[in-house]
Amino acid sequence: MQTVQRPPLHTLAGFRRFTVNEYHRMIEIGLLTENDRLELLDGFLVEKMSQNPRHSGKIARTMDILRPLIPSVWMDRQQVPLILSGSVPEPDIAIVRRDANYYETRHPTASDVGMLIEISDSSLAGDRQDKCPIYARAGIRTYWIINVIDRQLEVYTAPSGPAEEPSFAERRDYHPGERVPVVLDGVEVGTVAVADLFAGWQSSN
Amino acid sequence: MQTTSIPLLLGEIAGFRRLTVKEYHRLIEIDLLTPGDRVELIEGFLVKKMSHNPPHADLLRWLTMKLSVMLPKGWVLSVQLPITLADSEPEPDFAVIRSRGRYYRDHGHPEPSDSPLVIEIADTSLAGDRRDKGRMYARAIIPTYWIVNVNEQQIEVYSSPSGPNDEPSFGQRRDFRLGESVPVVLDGVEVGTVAVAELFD
Repeated sequence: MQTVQRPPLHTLAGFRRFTVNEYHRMIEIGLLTENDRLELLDGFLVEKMSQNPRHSGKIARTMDILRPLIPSVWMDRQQVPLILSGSVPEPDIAIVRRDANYYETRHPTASDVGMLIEISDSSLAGDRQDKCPIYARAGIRTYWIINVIDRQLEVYTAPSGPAEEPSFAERRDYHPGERVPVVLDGVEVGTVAVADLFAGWQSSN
Repeated sequence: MQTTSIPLLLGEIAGFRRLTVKEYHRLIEIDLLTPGDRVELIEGFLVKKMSHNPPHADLLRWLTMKLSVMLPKGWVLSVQLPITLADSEPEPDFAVIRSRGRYYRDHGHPEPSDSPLVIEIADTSLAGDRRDKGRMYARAIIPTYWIVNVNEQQIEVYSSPSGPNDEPSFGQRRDFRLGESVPVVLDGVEVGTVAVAELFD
């Protein structure tokens, strides 16, 4: 299992980072392919964790729980690209504004996003230290980390926007037994029992 | 912003897609990378080159002069130009290169077998030059690697590269201090010496 043993991406000095356009260019010319399984994070080509059934199942379970709450002006996308400034992450779940073309003509950008969710086991360190600053800089209003290791849901809100040290001003952890509100564009559309998010999960730890 | 210097990282960090030398050349070909980028490919990472401070620039000038006149026929001094290794394309401050007519124009930058001596001038970059570049040059079997250590006023001469293994390194290191002279050895032949004092007085 892979662990992130390095400082956060946004603090790394001395490297030439790639822009979003350059990243797309590298895909266009076939230098990067589907097999690469990458995200562009803060200008770095970061490899994605390999899929395991637990992780895939967790995404499906989470969507089953959320979908009934989500108004039809929103739609969900799973593990597909989102264009932010300097980054093209592929969050496990993105709740985005419904697009008439199902985003066939473009990837969603920050202003399309209602909330982002990462399901974190081995990726926990990266989801916190790398993706929090990226999502906070992009002004993502709600970021959930379903932290499988500690069996808690971490809800990050109040993004700083672009800043030297972008961060979410608020973090609240929810545990089984509690209910978490689902908020899109500042409107609470329902609540979810945290225990349901972790149901059926055989922790590896 | 709090920043972390490169030397602590390369070779130890997992989870990045590294670029191959071929991919690096492709990015240059399509102008995605240009000379204005001032980068080197180090173990698959695009590492920015440091800008020169006056002491570094001065040592560059001084050693350029000193080494150029010392080199016998058949050798050429390459200053801050690329050499191509298996996983990297550094642009060392100096490389003494086998003279091969227009071969490099037609076949690509010199490779380790044509580069018996590589020199880096290290001030702020010392840790990276020792660890990351040391590992990289040892893996590539560069026969002799000098670090001109500005702060400690010594020349560190590394030799007996391990070649590729889990932890490539040079088997020998000898530090030459003020009052000593470093032999310049090319293909086993001493072609001259550099007095450490001359560099730092």
